[in-house]
Amino acid sequence: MNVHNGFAGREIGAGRGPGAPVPARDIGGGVRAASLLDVLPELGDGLDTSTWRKARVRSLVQIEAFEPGPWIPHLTRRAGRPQTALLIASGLLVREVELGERCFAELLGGGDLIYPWAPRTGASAPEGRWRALHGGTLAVVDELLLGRIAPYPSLTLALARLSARRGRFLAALAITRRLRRVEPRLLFLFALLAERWGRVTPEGIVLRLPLNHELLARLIGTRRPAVTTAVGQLRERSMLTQLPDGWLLASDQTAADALDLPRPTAP
Amino acid sequence: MSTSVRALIDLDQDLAAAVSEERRDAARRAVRARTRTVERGAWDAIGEYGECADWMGLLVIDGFLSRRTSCGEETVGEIVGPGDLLRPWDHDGEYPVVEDITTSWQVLEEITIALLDAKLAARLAEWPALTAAILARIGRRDRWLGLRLLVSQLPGVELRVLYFLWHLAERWGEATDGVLRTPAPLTHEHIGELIGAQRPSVSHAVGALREQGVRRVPGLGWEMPLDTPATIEAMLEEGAFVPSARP
Repeated sequence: MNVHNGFAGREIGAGRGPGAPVPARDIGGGVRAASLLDVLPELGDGLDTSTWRKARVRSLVQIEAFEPGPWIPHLTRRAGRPQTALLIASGLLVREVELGERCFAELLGGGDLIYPWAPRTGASAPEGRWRALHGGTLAVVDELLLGRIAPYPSLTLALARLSARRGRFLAALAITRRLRRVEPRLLFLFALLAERWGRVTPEGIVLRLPLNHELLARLIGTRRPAVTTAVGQLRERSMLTQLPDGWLLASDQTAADALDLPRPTAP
Repeated sequence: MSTSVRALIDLDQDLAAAVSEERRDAARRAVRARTRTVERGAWDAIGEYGECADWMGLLVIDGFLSRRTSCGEETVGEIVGPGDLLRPWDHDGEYPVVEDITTSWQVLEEITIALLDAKLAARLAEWPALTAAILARIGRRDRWLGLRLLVSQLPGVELRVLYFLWHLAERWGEATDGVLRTPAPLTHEHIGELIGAQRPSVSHAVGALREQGVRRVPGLGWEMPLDTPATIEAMLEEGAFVPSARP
């Protein structure tokens, strides 16, 4: 396993930043709406200018806002259905699922598509709960929207691509469970998070994410005290530093050191 | 490999619920999908479909496969079955920070997949409720994945194995002769990859769970008593040890 700094010379991050506003307008009855292409401009990649303009007009989508704290999925003036998806335009959500004393957490942000009303995969599957670390906005992706964007199949395919991305992130996150020690688990997690939320600085990769030790433990499948100990050890080795508003991940080679990988030899 | 063309809502009858009864015949005529089978064993899904980014996906109609994500010497699995939507082409270089994450596919039991190709995706656009139902399959798979991650952090491999098998049977299995049976012929190694444990630990746990009525049915799957949830509950309360396994 090799962890490296793949960000040199560019900024990274998916969708809008946690606090970036979405240009929505009131369309009556307390419902706010925006163009899907304004919510997540990358969805329109590949459309020519003329088609993009038409698609922007047609892809009007209901917008919902959420505040920091516990969040119960709901829609203004209608009910969510099992097939209704919400596209996170901005903000940061955590989905937590508990079983016994164990809790799994998943971090979701701009560009993630969630299905909060989807049925459980079995009667014994525990229900999850949601909370927002940053307030933000969501776009309602349902059959009404899919009907409106029918002339632009590439938009539907882009939504499918976004849907699938979450699964791949979860699959990669599962790797952390196979690592015995907590330090490499943390570094692996931060490397994954950095892909979406990191920003390259001369000091390393900065992640403006309010992740406390308890949440980190839930993300990597361990206990909070173990995370606290590991964070201390990684800080001493200048690999991972907690900032007032986030985290600083050191460069690739220090991460590789933490994973006990041999240093690459010069060709 | 055999192929055929059939109405999508006949191939996956749960999808029919997304279309009103009076429009189902029209949907049958309009949205027809090619299917193919893939035999048991390693499957180069990325090699075969890596260039199909303009497709909606591959919908599993029948059979089971494992999506294996590897990094270095570590591998985790995801069991994928009927109703799940695959998009094997969505794999390209999305984790530039963590090199060496690779994905592979292993068919556990011959699968039949519907090819939701670009032409079908264009036709689907006229059936937004059907499209929404198909996209929601991805969301359901995410829930399944999240649950598997939760299982992998449960204390004790016995509890992980039991909870996973029960949930697998709940989703895709069937109750018969007083037991609940999982559908896929999973080996100890497969289970280890799915629950985040080493194969020897799984073998040990399976041995201990025999007293709870859990057993492998050669060539078929795993079966367990219908009162397994009570055993799971007891294990959760007692710190994940099967009563009989305590000193």
